[in-house]
Parts: sequence; C-alpha cells; structure tokens
Amino acid sequence: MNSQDLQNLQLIQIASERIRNVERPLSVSSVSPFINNSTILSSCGVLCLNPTQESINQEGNTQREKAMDVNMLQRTYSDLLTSLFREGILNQQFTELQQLQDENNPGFVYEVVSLFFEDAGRLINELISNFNQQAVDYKKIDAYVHQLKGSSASIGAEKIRSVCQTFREYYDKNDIQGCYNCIQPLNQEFVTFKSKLEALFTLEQQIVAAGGSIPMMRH
Amino acid sequence: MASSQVVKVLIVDDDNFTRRIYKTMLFRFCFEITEVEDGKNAIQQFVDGNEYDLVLMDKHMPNMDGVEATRTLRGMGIPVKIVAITDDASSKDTFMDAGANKFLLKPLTFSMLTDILKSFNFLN
Repeated sequence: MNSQDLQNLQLIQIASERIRNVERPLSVSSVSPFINNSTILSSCGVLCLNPTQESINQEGNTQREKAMDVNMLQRTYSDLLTSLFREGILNQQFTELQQLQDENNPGFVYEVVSLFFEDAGRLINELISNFNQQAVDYKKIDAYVHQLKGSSASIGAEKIRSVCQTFREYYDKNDIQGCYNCIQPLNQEFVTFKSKLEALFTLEQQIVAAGGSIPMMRH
Repeated sequence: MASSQVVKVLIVDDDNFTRRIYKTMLFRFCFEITEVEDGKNAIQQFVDGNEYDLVLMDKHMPNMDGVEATRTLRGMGIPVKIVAITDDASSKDTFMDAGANKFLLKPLTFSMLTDILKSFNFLN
C-alpha cells in the first residue's frame, strides 16, 4: 500500500465516522471532497449509497420505530391510569377534570393537580406539626382536614378523601386517638398519589414529545 | 340579568383550586367570572355596586360562611341566583331557608353545572 492509498483509507475512516453520526446517509457528492478516487468511492458501500432510495427506506424505518414507541407509551399510560382507578386512588371526578382539558386549557389537569400537590403537602405538614405540639389545637386540625377533604374530592383523589372522611367521623365523636391514627395513613396516601400522578404526567410528556396524543379513557 | 349581555358569575369558595375548576367550567360558556375567598368578601362585592347573575356559594369559609352570606344578601334585597355548593349534605335546609335557589353536593361536575345554568336560562 503506497502513501496515497494510506491517505485515502484515512479519509474513508473520517467520512465513515461522519456518516455514523448523522441520521441520514451522506450522498456521494457530500463525501467526494474527501475522496477524489472514484474507485475507492465505488468500492466503499457505506459511501456509495443511492441517497433517494436509502433515505426513503431509512425514513420509513424511523417512522415505524417512532409509531411503535408512541403505541408503547400510550399503552403504558392507559395501563397506569386504569390501575389508578382500579386501586381506588382516583375516582370519576378525575375523568371530569380530563374532560375539561381542551385546546383552550391544554395543561389544565397538570395545573390543578400541581396546585393540589402544593396545597395538600402544606396542609399535611401543618397537621403533623400541630399534632406534635404540646397543646393540640383540634379545631385548627379539623379545619385543615376539612379543606383537604374538599380539595381531594374536587380532583378525584379518592383514597385521600376517604381518609379525611374517616378523620372527621372520629373528630365528631371526640375520638382524639382515632383522629391521630389517621395522620400517618393520610400522609402515606398523599405520597402514593403524588408519585403515581407524577409518573402519569411524565408519560404524557413523553407521548406528546414522541408526536402522539394522550389516550382518553372512560371509567 | 346584570346590565350587560354577558352572564356574570361570582364564585365564593375558600379553596383556590376548587375556584380554578369552577372557572374552567364557566369559561366554556364565555361567562364573566369573579372569585372571592369568603362570605364577607362576597357581600363586599355587592356593597361596592357590582352586579352578578349567579353566585356559586360554598358553606364552610373563614370570616363568614355561605349560609350567613346568603342570608345577608337576601336581607339587602339582592335578588341574584344563589347556588349553594358544599359537601355538607346536612346544610341543605339551612341554606334554602337562608334564601338559596339551589343546593348541590360537591364535587361539582360539568353536567351538574350545565343543568343548573339551563334551569336559570343562562344558556341561550
């Protein structure tokens, strides 16, 4: 191999590297500034590509892969949402919220649920903090739980609403121990709700980023 | 109806995203919406000369609850349609005696709201 051949091989390696780093194959014309030996060009299959046909084939494969990705994401989303209803974490009110979302309010569900995360998180922290004080203000605690019950009912957070209901029943019977025993389950239900809804919203973002639409489901 | 053609609604609820949900529902009808956090501020709206066609009134609120706000508005001779919306089912009679036009249990759904608006002829 003479020095010219060696130089051509080096150029082929550079051009091949550039081809691997782009989505579509380079056309012969784009690599020919590097290699002006037509024999090497024609013998290098990776360089001598019919840009039209190969581009179309590769484009078709890419689109099929993307469609499969979107389908998989949508199935995962539907499965997760179905499980949230089946486990009683969400109820029909959540579906009502989804139906309120449209082109005028594209991020409505995300917005109200994010507000709930903030409000409920604050209320639960206040509850825990109040219960840990020497002089517990049960009236204040009841007010917090009442607010949490209302907001969880508004967005369809069924398990959280249910624990709040149980708390208020204990409160009405002056059963302080019963009230206290509700706090830890309430916090746990909130943590579970938050993590599952965050996973749901992440899937939504991935579906939209992949060019798909969010599946609407009836429950 | 209030002087303009647009239906004017006053949302009275101490929970900010309950108000957000109601607003989103009502925006679908292109209504003009005002929101306040308690009964006292609701009364102040009318004292300030504002006119409304419909009030969505919660019950449990700080400063002044919904029943007292309803009673006060009727005492002022305000004929606005008042819809009580609360999770306290036992307060229905109290609300109606105070002068509410309708009583609904939370959570409010879009179809419940539509039925109410139709019954008041706000959907023309």
